[in-house]
Amino acid sequence: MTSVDYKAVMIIAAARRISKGNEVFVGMGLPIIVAMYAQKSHAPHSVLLNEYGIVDPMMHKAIEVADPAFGERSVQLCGMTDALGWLLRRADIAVLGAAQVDRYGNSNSTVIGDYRKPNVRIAGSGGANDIASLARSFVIIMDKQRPEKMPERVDYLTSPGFLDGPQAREHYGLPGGGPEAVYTDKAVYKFHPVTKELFVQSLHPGITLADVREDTGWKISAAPKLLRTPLPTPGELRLLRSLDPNHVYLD
Amino acid sequence: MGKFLPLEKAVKNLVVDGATIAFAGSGGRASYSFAYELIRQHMQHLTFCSAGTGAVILDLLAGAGVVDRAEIAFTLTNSRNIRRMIEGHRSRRLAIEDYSNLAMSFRFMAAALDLPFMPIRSLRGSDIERRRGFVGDHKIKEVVSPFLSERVALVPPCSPDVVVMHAQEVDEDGNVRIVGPVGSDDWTLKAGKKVVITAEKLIDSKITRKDPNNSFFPGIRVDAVVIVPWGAHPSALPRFYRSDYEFLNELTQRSDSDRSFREWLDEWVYGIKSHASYVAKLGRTRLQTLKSGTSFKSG
Repeated sequence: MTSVDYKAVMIIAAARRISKGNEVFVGMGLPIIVAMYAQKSHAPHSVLLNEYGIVDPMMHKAIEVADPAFGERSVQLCGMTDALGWLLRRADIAVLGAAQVDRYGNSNSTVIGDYRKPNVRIAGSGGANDIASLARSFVIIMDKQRPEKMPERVDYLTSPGFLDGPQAREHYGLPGGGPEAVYTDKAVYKFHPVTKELFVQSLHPGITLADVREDTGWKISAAPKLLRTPLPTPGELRLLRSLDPNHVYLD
Repeated sequence: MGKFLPLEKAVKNLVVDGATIAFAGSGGRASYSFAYELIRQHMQHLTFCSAGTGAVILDLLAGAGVVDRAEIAFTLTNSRNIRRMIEGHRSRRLAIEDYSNLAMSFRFMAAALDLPFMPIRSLRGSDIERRRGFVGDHKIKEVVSPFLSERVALVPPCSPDVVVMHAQEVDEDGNVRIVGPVGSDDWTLKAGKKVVITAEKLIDSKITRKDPNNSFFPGIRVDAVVIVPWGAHPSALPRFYRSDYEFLNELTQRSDSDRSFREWLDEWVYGIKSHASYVAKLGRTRLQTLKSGTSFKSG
């Protein structure tokens, strides 16, 4: 188990959430390679959408998200208000990246530390807050899990998960369904239907529950029947790497 | 052709210290040439507004002391000048008001349509709503809808004094044609009190009139046009040239201290008289490579 590519395990696990023909609204960063992989493997005819209004780009090779080449051979280039205001609301699933995720699936992509005097200014919302607020359902993908990256409460709540717990999204009038899973390089997490708290659903190959707890900022619970995330086959890994020859998203 | 100005004049005539400015340009098309000229003319105390565009330009302008406030949805990991200004216990020289991409788009839309606000279903419950900077109380409000009694957030209009965008083509009447992803470029332009288009190429209005569906923005609402070949470099200009990642990486690297960034500015902005000299400095070989790698090739 010394040479498991955990980033690939995470990406492929997240990609399995996408089914044939799904409309997938992708956030910036890793979500793109997740959706691309799904489309080229088990989810043909799935359609990528992004916040800049790019509808169904025909991507064969991962490129920088800010590069306009991303929109080449798409079927339409509409606007951001169309994308985040209209396309997103009916998309089957959204995929978001994050720098921190907390107990209720709230995520942070703005600052590490105090907002007024941050240790690190990361980026900001971009469209992430809109996607987390409005998407029918979304999943979060976050590499390099460490306790600081999974604190009990995010340093800055950029994008809403279940906020403070049950009923909070309803209280704030957020129309989207909220997060349904978190994928890291250690495990797959889901949310308890009643408490809305994150729990460990599936451990990646070679990872123990103790490992996961060590890298989580609170005592996270686990499913009564813990699953094991499948190890990608050589063929799956080959496909994934072929999609990102320039290492935009993969190491 | 009265709107056609040289770059230097466009900045002089349209931008004053303390103005609010936005750079549209989602699919490349960022008017670096205009940004360089703002720096060259030592403009000060500008507020930078953006719905998903111009993040690198913001870092340049903030680092050069041109912009000191920003109403934006994001900076970049590579925004080293900004990060140097706000991280740790440094005295902040850039004040940021954080919104989301849809919120900033709606703010431009409200300004364009002369609406007092736009309702929005995102932002609520987040720190974007809770933590406020210089916009303060007016950042986001909450009301109960008079129709269905649901609670909804409102964002205020945002009308920049000047909006700038680089376009692939402009005709003699200032009509604008573009290629590539559009993001909120349309609403950003419509929200501007003044609109400046820097353009790669001048075309005949016969071409515009033959194909009006492909006009992006009408010349009647354009206040100034500047023809600037390579005016979006180092961003991409689909159908003309690709992003110059080598140049951008060097810029990032040289932005890691005040001193080395100042040296970069001396070399690429202050020490250069015009955008034509900048293009000459880039050199023919480099330009040829950038041209050959462009996206959205016609045909």
